[in-house]
Amino acid sequence: MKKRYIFLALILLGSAGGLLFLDNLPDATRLAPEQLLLKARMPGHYISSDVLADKIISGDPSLLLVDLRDSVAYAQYSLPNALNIPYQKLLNKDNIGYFDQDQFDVVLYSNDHLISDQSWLLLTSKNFNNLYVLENGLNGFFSTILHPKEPSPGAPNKDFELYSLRKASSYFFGVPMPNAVHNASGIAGVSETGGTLKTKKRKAIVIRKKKKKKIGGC
Amino acid sequence: MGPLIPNELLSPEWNNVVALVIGFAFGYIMEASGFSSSRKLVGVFYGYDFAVLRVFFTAAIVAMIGILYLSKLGYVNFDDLYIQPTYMKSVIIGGLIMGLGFVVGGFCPGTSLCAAGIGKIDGLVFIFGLMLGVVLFSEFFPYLESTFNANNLGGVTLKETLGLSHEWTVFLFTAIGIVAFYITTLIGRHIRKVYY
Amino acid sequence: MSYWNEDHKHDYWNPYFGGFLLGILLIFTFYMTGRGLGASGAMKSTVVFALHEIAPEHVEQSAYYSRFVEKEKSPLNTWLIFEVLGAIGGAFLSGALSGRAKFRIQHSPNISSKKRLILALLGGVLFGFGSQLARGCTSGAALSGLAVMATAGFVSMMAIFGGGYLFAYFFRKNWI
Repeated sequence: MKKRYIFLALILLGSAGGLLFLDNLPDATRLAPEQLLLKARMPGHYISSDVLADKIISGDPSLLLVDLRDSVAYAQYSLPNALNIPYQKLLNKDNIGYFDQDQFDVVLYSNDHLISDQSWLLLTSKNFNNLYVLENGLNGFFSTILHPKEPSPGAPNKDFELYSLRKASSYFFGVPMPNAVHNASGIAGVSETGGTLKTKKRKAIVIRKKKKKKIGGC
Repeated sequence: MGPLIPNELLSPEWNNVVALVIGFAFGYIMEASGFSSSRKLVGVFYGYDFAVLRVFFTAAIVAMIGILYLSKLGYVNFDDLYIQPTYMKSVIIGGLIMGLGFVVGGFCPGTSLCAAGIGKIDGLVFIFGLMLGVVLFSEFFPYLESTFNANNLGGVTLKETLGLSHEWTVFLFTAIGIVAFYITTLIGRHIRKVYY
Repeated sequence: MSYWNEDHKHDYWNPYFGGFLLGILLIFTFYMTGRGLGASGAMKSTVVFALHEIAPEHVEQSAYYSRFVEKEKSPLNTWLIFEVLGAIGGAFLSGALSGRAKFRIQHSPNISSKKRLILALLGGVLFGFGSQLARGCTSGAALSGLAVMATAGFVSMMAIFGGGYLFAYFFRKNWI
């Protein structure tokens, strides 16, 4: 038996044995719990109704709205251009591409912000970025933007400015201005009831970081 | 993080170029190791030449160790690698038929390509036979379908089937391989050296 | 220049060296493409392509062939076909450099060339049939499977070599 073969055999055995003592690297696809908690405590991932309304009106192209409610509720009303991903189907492999990407700021919302908070936590733990939650959900959006409360007469001037701004944006979302009701019939898409939103249900095209189906050799 | 092409770190247009380069190296290494000679290949079954066993086991051991190191050090995502599904029944029956074909024909598909590459007519005929075998298989496929699809265990590794961790699989396989190398060297001493 | 002459045409690489390089190549293949090497898949693609040209209806109705026919993509435009073309080229280069490349039929002195060709054809048919049943050949199923510790890789390796040893006795006169 030649010495060099013994030497080579020992190298092979040694490198195979080395594997037994090598720990796995932490899984890069999951966020460590302490970092997740830190991220969750920071309020930075909340987006207020006013900011969102502004983004929608200005047509921010990097915005991707995701409606987490079921398809029935979504069909009745939703925000313009929102995508419907019921939260039960959040992690389906068809949907995960919408979150595992870098090109959009994804805003999650449901009726309140409970489900969207939980969904945010779930997605963030998978190390996805650019995720936001609509503060107070659709209900909050309705009460602040679509039907803003008129400030009491003694309120500061700032409140009135905010009120008129919200009132103006509510017009964008299809709620007729009180003084415009009588000539609203000429404007297509404006509902007389004032409560429902007419939205174009258009699907956003996301270039997903999707994984190719694994294909075999022989 | 690899694998590069499925993760689109390298654009899919490179796919065929990479295939050509890898194939070239594959053919070169096999031919240079003597895999283009059917008499050398079958030697492993009659004990006069163990080149197949040595090359095959060394390659498997080196690849196993390397891939596991790459995955542990974070260069490759092991879950993204293709692990072929295990259909117990068809793999065993098909494997035995292939073993029979090996001792009858003297090649396996990869080595017959090498033989054909350096102009061996028997290698070329073997390739033709392979294609005939494929035709035969698909003509009889309706009768074979139940065997073909029986005992599907999915894309499993020994970790799932035997509960043996990847590290121990590699270590034991390496040890077995080295023992096999040693034994074949002992056998080889008693047999005269022949070139084919 | 002394190496590249006829005297050395039977000098093959040290098998451990060849095996080491093959292992490195396998790692590289997995790192690049996420799967291993293969050979029999290319034969299947060629068959599907050829039959699709001759009898397209038969191929599309066949339960087995039809799995591999895709619209707007030739069955020949696959990874494995390119790999196999490369392999033939690589083998030719190695053979040509060492003076092994020439047209000949290699057989044991005990059998005639004709018998050798008949046996090669028969062996090819068996191997082709078996590789389709087992979903891969020695390189595609056994070697690449072993590299990722797939159960199918271990089982097919044992079945192929076990089958070889099992039947080797009956064909010994053809080889030794």
